[in-house]
Amino acid sequence: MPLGLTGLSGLIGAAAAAREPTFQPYIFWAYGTACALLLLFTLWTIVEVRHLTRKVDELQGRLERSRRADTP
Amino acid sequence: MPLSVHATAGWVLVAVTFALVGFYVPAEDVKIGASYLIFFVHFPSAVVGLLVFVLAGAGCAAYLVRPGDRTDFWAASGIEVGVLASTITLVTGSIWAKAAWGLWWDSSDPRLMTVAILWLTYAAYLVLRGTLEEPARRARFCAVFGLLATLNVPLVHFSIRLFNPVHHPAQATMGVHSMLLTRWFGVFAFLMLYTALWRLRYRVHRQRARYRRLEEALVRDGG
Repeated sequence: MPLGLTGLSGLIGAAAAAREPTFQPYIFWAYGTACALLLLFTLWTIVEVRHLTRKVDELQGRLERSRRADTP
Repeated sequence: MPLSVHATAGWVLVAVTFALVGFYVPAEDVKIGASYLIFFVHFPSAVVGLLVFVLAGAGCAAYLVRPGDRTDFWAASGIEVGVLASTITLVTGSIWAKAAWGLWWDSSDPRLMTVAILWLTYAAYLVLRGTLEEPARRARFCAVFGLLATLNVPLVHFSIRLFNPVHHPAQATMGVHSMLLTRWFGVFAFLMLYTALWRLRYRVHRQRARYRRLEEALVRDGG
């Protein structure tokens, strides 16, 4: 008798657990998307800053060279 | 604080927040189960995003009072970071809505709709900024637009009190000490990271302006 009750309550418990929504995928996607967006934004900005700095240095060099060439 | 230290500290603090969510706060909430864990990335982004928009709006106002590169770059870079923050708020909010309410989006919910309008308004700001070529004209137009867009921020904040939403709660009940601590630690962590990104974006705008000026100087000099 106790064994039967335990078995039945176990089955009911398992059925209830199966009906309960699992939130793990939602949590995974929420944190994953946030991290991905933050990381991409950070990397994009760092790459852009470096690229612009290199171009600015290059132009600065060109400008100095052209001014030096113009001075008699 | 050097920018590299600032950005690293921001990332480390955000990682600590995620660790607190994983190991410190209770795994489930009594009412909405484990889905409440999304709150700890959704709320900080929302709060800091609105704060960033207000500060960027102040930059727009400052530009209109005294035009200059610094206030223009401050506002533009702030709005870029604010759009990132509100994108994260919308995406995580939508995922949480699906988990907790069973729907991705509720167009009758005033909080959701005001945030969506806010996002679209600032996205339009970025489009406007990208389409105008002449720097002084672009800065002036964008300052006016940015200042007008800031008017939507209090509407987002007070939408819950004004319109009685069906789904979005007026405030989250954080009864447990660990939840409260993680919530405000998260806000601090995201504030650090977003302000670091703000400084980085500011640098991008400054370098772009320098590049443009150098190009003009080279053309003038015939180099």
